[in-house]
Amino acid sequence: MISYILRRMFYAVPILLGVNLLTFLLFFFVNSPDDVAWQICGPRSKTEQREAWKREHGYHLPRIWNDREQGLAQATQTIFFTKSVGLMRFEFGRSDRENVHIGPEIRRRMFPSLAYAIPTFLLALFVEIVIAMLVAYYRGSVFDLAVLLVCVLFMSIAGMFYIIGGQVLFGMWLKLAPISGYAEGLSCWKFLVMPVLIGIISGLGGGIRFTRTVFLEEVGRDYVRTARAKGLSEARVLFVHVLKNAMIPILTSVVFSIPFLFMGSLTTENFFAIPGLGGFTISAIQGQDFAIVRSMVFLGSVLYIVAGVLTDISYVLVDPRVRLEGSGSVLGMLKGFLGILAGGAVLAGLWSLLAEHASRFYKVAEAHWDPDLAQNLFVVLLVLSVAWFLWRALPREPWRTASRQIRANRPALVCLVLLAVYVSIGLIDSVAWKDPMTDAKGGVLHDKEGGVVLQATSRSLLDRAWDFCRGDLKEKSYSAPLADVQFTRNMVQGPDGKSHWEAPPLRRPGAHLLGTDKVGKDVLFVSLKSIRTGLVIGGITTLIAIPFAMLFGILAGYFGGWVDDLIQYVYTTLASIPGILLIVAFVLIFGRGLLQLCIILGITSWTGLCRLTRAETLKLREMDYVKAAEALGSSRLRILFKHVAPNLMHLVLISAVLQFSGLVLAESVLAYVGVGVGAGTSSWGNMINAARLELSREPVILWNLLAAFVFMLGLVLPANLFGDALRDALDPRLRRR
Amino acid sequence: MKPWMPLLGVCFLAVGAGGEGCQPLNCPYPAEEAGRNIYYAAYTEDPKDLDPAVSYNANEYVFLGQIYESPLQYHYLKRPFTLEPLTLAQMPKARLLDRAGKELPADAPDEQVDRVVYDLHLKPGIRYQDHPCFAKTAGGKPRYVPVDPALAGRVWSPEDFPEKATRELTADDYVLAIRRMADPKVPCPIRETLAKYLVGMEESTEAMTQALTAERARRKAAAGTAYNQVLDEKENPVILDPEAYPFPGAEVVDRLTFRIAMKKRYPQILYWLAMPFFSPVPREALDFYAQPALADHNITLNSFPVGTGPYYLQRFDRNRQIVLARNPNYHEDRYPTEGTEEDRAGGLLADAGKRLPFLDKVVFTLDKEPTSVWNKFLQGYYDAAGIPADSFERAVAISIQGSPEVSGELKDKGILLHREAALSTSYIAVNMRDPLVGGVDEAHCKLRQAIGIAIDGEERIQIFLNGRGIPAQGVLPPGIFGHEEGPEAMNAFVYDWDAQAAAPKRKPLAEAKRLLAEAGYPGGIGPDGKQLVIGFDHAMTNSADQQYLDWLVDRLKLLGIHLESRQTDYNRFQEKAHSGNLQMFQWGWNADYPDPENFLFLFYGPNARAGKDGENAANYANPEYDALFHKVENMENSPERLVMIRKLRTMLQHDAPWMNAFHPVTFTLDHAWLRNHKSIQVANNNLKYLSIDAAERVRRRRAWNQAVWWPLWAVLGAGLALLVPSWMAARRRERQGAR
Repeated sequence: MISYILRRMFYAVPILLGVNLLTFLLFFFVNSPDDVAWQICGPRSKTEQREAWKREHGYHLPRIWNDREQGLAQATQTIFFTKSVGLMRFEFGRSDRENVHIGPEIRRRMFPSLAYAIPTFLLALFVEIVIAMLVAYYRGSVFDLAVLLVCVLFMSIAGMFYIIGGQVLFGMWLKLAPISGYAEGLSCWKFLVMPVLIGIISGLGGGIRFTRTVFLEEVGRDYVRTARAKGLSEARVLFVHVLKNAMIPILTSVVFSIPFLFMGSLTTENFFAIPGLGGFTISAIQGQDFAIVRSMVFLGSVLYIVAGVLTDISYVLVDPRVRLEGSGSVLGMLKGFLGILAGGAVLAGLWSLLAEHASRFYKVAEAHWDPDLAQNLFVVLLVLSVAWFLWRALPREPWRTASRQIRANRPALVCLVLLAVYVSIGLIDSVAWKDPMTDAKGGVLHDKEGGVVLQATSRSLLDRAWDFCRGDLKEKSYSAPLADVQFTRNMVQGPDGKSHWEAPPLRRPGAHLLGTDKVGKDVLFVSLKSIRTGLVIGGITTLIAIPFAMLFGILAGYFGGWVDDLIQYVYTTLASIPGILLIVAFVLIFGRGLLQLCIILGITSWTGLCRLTRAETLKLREMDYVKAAEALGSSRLRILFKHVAPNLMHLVLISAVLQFSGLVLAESVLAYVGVGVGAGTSSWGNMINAARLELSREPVILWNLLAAFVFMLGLVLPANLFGDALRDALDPRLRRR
Repeated sequence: MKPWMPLLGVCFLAVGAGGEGCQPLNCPYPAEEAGRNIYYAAYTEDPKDLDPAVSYNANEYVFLGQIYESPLQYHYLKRPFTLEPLTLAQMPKARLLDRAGKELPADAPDEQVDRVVYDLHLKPGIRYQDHPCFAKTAGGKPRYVPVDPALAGRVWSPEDFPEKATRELTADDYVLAIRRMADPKVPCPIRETLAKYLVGMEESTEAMTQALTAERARRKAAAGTAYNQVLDEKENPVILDPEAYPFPGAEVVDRLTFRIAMKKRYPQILYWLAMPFFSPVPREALDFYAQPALADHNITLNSFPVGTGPYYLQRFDRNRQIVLARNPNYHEDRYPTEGTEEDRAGGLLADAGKRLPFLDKVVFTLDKEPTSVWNKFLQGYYDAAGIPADSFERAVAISIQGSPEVSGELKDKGILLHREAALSTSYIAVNMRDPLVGGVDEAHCKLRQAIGIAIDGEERIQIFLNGRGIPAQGVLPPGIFGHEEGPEAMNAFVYDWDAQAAAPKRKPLAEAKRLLAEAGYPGGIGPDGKQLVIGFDHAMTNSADQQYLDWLVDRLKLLGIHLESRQTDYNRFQEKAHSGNLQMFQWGWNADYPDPENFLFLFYGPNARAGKDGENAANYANPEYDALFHKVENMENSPERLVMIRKLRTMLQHDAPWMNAFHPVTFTLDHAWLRNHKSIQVANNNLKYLSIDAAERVRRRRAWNQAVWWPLWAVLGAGLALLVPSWMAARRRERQGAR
């Protein structure tokens, strides 16, 4: 085992190097040091001032290669080298913006983060286990069903709602705890009660479900039957025998998340003004403080690696059957190391190529791109391919059995119908074209060559349908659902010439089912428009991530050796960089937009599924039918695509559905951090974000928040429930139950 | 159903029964602070740099203004803003000298003036706060330079040092501060501005830069390939002594007198003398903070200022709390005795002539969420607050007379409202170098005038600012010399005078359409038969901004113009502005000092943003304007100056580089227990005038923050009620036979 740990430590070096290089490239191919100087010195700064700042902070050097130097100094007299040397020595240096030493700052901020994270983590674990035990005890009863439903419901609510709602409820209405703040020492508990409670509740759904599954798996084992046969009471079986054994998978899954408690929570810390590392990272990202971001990413990757080792060790400690092999030969280790190094170089090269040329390419593409045409084509293709898949796959096993099972499952059918409604609204909203310009009399305008002059923006089928049914009359500002007058009062000039302050009547009294928002848009319409955004974020991202994950996962699992090493290296490196940073950097290069967001979310989210498919392929590789195919002389490609891939499909489909709902929820956090879909697109995240301020009005404006809540729940809840039904139908291990 | 609920109940019970019984549960402050003379405020952005030569930011001035003292200050109550001496014995007078050093009369022509000299005499007996940098050993050497490494490992703030001392403020400190601004290692944002006027500043910077570059080159050559500037200078920082380089523009005359010499007339220098840039910096502090051992623990001048002001920095925890405490060494300073009748009626003169400051302590807490700040204010945990736009309805109603006053719940709480027109202007402009929308030819001017009419500034202020703004007729905000109201000053290209209401009335949309047609775009269709598309460059990301953008697009749609939102991040936006690639955009300007020059120079051609980093963001260039501005620039306020300012205003109204602008009005709310508050944003040292009725605050806070327990008990009860059926189910299950 010691040799195993040593080997892991050894592998950590190239990963950290890779992470460091990647962070550097991310930051500095997006932002030149000049940009950073602008950002730090402010819009009113002078060139000379910015130059001085760069000199003082060592940003006056070239980024990666110094042509003006001789020999080795060409590489050492660069920003990359000088900054990396400090990092590798854990000397984080000074922050760019506030000019403070990062090391002491991290040490100081760690405690508030832990003071929030540890109680949340432990209490949540405790509560989850207790409830899961009870559920396992009452399994199959109404209670079980109810808890399961509540869990899915909890999982289908965006994290932002918990934070906002909790703050309003406990801090403002019940006045049981301070709204925000922190204190040093033990007196901090007063500020932590509310965030910890909210943290526990928000994670409860997923936690209970996971723990329950583990318990139920244990309950089915032989020793339980034996214990029961001996005449032990059910309570004793559960609380003594099952509990102990179930703790193994629970604890090992928990160990992995322990090191990340240090990194703090991004949103919670900001909302509750807890001065921890999460808030530190967020404000560094927002303020583009490269020194802090780099240090935090470095720290994050170190923790990621430590977490991996800890998890493996904990396996050995709790389960005597597991043995960790250390690679015996030094040669093998060296080979692996070199392979990984080569992989790192390839990765870095690819990225720098991408970063350097992509933005140029993107601009060219954007100029010649007809978004309407492309979008309409894409929608048609998507619909056709889904139809083709259903038509081909459904008559065959195992899909036939699965579809029969789902058809028999009434709630799943309801969910499917709901999802279909959402999807069709999204599709209707995705078919768009431009109208011609008209003159005052309604005639179509032509330009000199006789072509029709088109309006600059296109309108979708949904826009047209809405206008047809309701007319596009907008109000001026807020109005309550079904109200006749505006919610806000305006200065109005009366007939006597005097101004007074009153609520003016609406243009369409009583017509706005869900009220109107700040600029007078109908909230129902905005919510409907947001459906497409949610579907695109969840759907396209999943579509991008799955092929990658499957391809790399299968290749790594099937071929092993250096292919495996390389792919593992790539995804470990990617996974150990906090996702939010990758997203921010990507958005900075390519601009804010729905498509860009989908692509980067795809890049950050393929790693999990890749690991899963790799592990499954490892198992499948040893299956008799694969061996048989090999013996029959099938080509490797044929084996991969005909024998291995189809047997992974159920896994992929299930994770796709679950990932989809996770992504829809994640959008609201991204909007809060400021890297959401951007201002031009309606989205639930944008609605929630706007609603934060509306909550501090009196009387409170709730309809915006509630509409976003209900519409989001309406998509995510059916998706989660349907995902569960699909899992039951497709996973052969579960089918028997 | 949820077994953790009882647990939670117990938890909360423990809170209720805990030692802090008499304080409300949601009070975010320690119990021992209750009833004390402490002022509580929030800050939403952590201060970046508290070095007076570097900081140029209102949220840092909140702290700097109380700790440091510049030579001059604004009179707290008098309006229009009036400067008065703070650490000086009297107001400085300009002396004009010719090349031979002979004194000239005040009205001497510019060509004869070689030097403009101010002699500044300090009040005697002003002492610094107690600080370890002043502590001396028995032999008269600094006690903590060099600092004992063992001690340095233990301390995290100057407060942690066992010994502290003070000393008298001298002229050297001010001169050192001014000379420091020339130091290339100090990123002083106004160096270029000052170097235009102060004699020898440019040369001093030049000489110091050479010395710095030489030293760095030497170190690099000595260390070779592996030289790492950042790591090396962390251990051995390069320190330049600004006193060692000649700088005739700032010199000591005697112990309490220093002299500022300028190359030409610049009466605005007096306003600069009231800003924190001109705060004294003691040499002892520079030597003390230059030690890497202290910098390692973030004990630097950026974080721990050393001043003579009414408060000193007691605690600096930038990510949580900043505490200022009363400076026991503070010099004789009294509450003003003069004020307007309004001030007298408002009780602002009740403390006239009393010794300042009134507060023992000021506690600033970091709160990034505006909602949290607002609600904590309503709960009585902050003593004053600005009003977030969305809470306006709740906070303020317009009385029948039309003047805003606090409403409903707030009125019951005794909260008071203050209004002040900020010395700033927010504007929507075009890049005048842009071929599509820029240029001062008649057609392009008409295009911009048409857009100016279409962007309904009144509606914008109504919806997005809840009326907290004044639509601008010219560029000067109220309170600045040259700001005028009435039909003469009105922007006649956008408004008509409504004699009945005695106010400007926006021209109808038809007029805008007519202008647009004359500009060559009838109905928004250009000569090429295509719709006019204008790009609006911005870096707005949040959803409130989005709502504003939608509104803006809709306004221009009324003219048939398509406004294309071009969103970039802030860096790209800066870059675009720098390279002159913006088309239409919006920006704002906060005045440094209340002088019209500080606004009119925003249109001065050589001050263009593109290529020159100037403040003329619209890149407006009009030789006629530039010539006239040159005359207005350094004049004292006089009727002649006013005439010229009017001409400049008319030019800008016609050329319309800014198509829409407004002057923001800030509303602040005070709790009833806060006394002596008068808004004066141009001044930074107002906290010394405030006082608190702490007993009243305790009473009200308690009344407003009664915890509501019953929902918790209800949940707890429901949980208990569930126990019975589950217990029965369990028993049934246990008795069941095998299945």
